[in-house]
Amino acid sequence: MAAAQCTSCGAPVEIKNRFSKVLVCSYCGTHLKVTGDGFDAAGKHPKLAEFPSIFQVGSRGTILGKPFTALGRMRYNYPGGHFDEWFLEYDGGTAWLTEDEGTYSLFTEVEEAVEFPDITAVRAGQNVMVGNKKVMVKEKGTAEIAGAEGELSFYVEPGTKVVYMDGVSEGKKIAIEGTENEIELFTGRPLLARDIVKS
Amino acid sequence: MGTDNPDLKALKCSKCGGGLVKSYRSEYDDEEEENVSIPIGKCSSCGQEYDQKTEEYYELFADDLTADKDNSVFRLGIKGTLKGVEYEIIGRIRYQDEDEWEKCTWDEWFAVAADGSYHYFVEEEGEVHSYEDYTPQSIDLESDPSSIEFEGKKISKDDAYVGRIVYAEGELPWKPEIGEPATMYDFKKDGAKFTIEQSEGEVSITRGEKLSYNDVVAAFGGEEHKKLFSETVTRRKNYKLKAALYAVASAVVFALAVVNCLTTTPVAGVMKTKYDLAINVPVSESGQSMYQSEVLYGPFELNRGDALYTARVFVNDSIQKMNLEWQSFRFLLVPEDRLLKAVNHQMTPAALKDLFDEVDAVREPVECYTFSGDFWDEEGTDDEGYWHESDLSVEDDFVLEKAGNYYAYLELTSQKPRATASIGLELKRVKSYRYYIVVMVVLAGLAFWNRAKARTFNAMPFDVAG
Repeated sequence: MAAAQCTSCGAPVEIKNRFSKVLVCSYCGTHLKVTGDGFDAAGKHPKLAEFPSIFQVGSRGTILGKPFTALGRMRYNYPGGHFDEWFLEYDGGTAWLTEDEGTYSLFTEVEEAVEFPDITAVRAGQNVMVGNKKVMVKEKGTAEIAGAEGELSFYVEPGTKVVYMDGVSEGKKIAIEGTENEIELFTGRPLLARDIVKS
Repeated sequence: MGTDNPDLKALKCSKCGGGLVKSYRSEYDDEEEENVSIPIGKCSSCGQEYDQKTEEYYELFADDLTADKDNSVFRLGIKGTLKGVEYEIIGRIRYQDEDEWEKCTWDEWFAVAADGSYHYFVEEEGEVHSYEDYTPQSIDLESDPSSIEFEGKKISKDDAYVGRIVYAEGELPWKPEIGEPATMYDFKKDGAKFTIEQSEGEVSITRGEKLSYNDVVAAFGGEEHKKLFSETVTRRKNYKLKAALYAVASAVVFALAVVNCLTTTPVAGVMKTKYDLAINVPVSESGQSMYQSEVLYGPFELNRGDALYTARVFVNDSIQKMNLEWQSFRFLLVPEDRLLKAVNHQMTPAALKDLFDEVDAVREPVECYTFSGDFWDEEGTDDEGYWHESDLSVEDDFVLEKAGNYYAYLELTSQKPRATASIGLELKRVKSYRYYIVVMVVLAGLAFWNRAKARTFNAMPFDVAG
């Protein structure tokens, strides 16, 4: 889409999705914020460790029969381990796919204007109201942004603390993530490995 | 990670820092209905007790609860293919049921599939279930204090049990702590098995299915396990087949016993020869007048020894009806040789009468079998009006020891004078079924034993469910 050069190392970089807000240079790991004029270097961070994953940046195929391209990922560390959130170009739009403990969830709806509970106060097993939906809290915790690669639709500095809550409601998975500056609600569904077909 | 990890073994009293030792406490057991000794941890300094509701207990007793941890077809690093998917076992958590004082553990084996997805194999009492994450349409754990709701199904909270981690090894999706509790619900819905596991920080919902142990051994077992499991399966099948054969044989023998029980052969000529020793002799007993007759029938042949016979004494209405009266009888079966010896071969009515008048006083009984009974005919009125009832037949079974010629003696006592010919006598030989019953019981016992062996035989070094 938009070919350019890394402002830090000069390596060629390219933005593939028009909604992307940040691009991580695959050569030097510099986080490049997308601006009207080009890129602003937001900082240099180590590349992500290569843990086994179903995707890599650029992976293509279908999810539930609809085409996807893996554009980038954000990795979160938490006391029990880590999980990855893949930013996808999916079926003409964008989506997030969470890969956690070998399970996959596809979040296609992102909302910002819903009434949330105070997720710092909820506990596992509790019922909370999110908008007009009753959600059972499956898990709640605090994670830290470990890093990123590829291109992403928002930018969070590595090291930033994120409070998260996973829940279920009406057969759907609900994920709420909050930082000091932003809180977002994702609605999605669980995926089986066979739902994801790489080309 | 395992029990050797020093992080998991801080066996110090949380109250005083003293060392913990294994000990016992006497506690009343509702099921046993008596006091039992239960294991506890105890501080050797301050005496603080740590029972199975505490994490210290599991740290202290971890070795006891994990002594058999290697008795499994699964082990870390092993790969196997189930239903076309290759799995590698990468971790394991062992839980102990908190409510049990004795060892009651199960293992959750954590596996990663070739496609990167994770899976749980739960192994308990020789059964293996495969579990994967499940997102329900609806779930509510807290609205109702007595039950949880899961997709419209109510599950009582009384069905919950608490599992405590007693061992962990390998790669796991979170860092377990020895003694860490999780409240669990196991239930079935629409034929599938579900487990809800609630710990302090997470609720996990999984759906599982039972795996054939044959498939598990084929996928993950070593050569020795495969050989021993094959032997187990073969022997169990053999025991099952034997159990079925013995059960069928037992049923056949039972049917034969029933047929024989219902099949009788009348003894011919019982009433062919008759001696009237006394006819309606008036007697008085306790101020009541009555009549006594004595009759001897025989000889007749009972041609099968060690056999079951039925003797029936009855009123022959065609000779004389009973009309609002009673009559009692005593029947004696007398072997011919004993009778002849008792009367010195003088078979005269007088000699016979003398003998039977004193039959209860002779040193050696002449009879080999006796029974008695009453006939009656009555009428009256009660709340429902007039009634008329009678009982005109009595029968009894006996086992004849020896075949030969016999006599039948009848002592008859009646309220009114009655013809001796009005009392009939029948003897029937019942085909033997006693031995069939014995054989049937033996065969049924063998069937049960083989059935039990078919379930419990195990050549494997650990439990394998049938």
